[in-house]
Amino acid sequence: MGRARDLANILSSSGNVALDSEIALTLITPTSITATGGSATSSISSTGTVSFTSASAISLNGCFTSTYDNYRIIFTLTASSGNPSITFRVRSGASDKTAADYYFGGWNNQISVGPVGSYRGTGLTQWSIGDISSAQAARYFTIMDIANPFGTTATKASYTGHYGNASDFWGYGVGAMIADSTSYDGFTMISSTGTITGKISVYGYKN
Amino acid sequence: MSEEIRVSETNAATGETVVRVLEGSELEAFLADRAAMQAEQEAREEAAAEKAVAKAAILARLGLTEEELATVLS
Repeated sequence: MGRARDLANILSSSGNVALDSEIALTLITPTSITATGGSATSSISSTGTVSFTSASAISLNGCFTSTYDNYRIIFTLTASSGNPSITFRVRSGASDKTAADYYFGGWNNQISVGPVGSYRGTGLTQWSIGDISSAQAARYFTIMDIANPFGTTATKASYTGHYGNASDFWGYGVGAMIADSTSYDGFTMISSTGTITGKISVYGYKN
Repeated sequence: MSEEIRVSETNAATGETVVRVLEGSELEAFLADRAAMQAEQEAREEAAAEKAVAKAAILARLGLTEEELATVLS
C-alpha cells in the first residue's frame, strides 16, 4: 500500500514534520484497479486517486487493510452515457460480494417535490449510492464513511450525496450495513446501465 | 452475437495494465449478475413509483397539495 501527502498536511501543530501516527487522514493507493466496459480506461495518480473513463464498473483492490479500521471514500463523476443508477459493492480477493446481504435505509429529497420514493432496501446485492439525471453526471457527488471493512465484524457505512440536472436537484443520506463477518479489501462502483467517468479517492482514518 | 465485455486491470506497483475480454463462464456470470442487479434496481424503483401513486391518491382524497402536506409535517 502506498501513501502520499501534500506538504501542507505534513506539518504538526508545532511546525515540525508530523509523524505518520499524527496524521488523521491518509490518502491510500489501491494495490490495483479494474475497469469494466467496452472502452473503459483507468489510472492511479501518484497520490493515489483513481481516475476512470467510460466504465460500467470500477473496482479498487487492496485499499482496505489492517492499518486502518475506518475509511472515507469520495466519489465524483464528470460524465455518463445514459442515466444510470449508481451502486456499490465490497470485494475481497478481486471478487465482488454478490450475496444478498446488503441493507440500507435513508432519505432522498428532490427539491422541487420533497421526499421521493423509498430509499431503502433489505437483502440486496448492492448499496444504492445515487443516480444520474438527464446525463448531468457532473452534478453527482457522494462521500462515504465505511467502518471496519477489513475486520471480521459487520461492515457498516454512512454516506451522503447529491445529484441533479439543469432544473432540479436531489440530496440523499443513508445508513448501511452488510450482514456478514467477512473481511473485505476493496470495493466496486457500478453503473446500472451505460458507463460513467470520474474519480475516486480513499482515505484511511487514523486509529 | 453475445456482448463483448472488456476488463482493464492496472497494477499500482508496476503501472502495468492488462486488457482482456471476459469469456465463457466468467462472461456468463458477469451478464447474469448484471441482469440480477438491474432487476433489483427496477423493483426498487417500481416500489417507489407505486408508493408515489398511493401518496398522490391519499392527498387527493384529503384535498391537500404536496406543499400543504410538507407544511403539516414540518
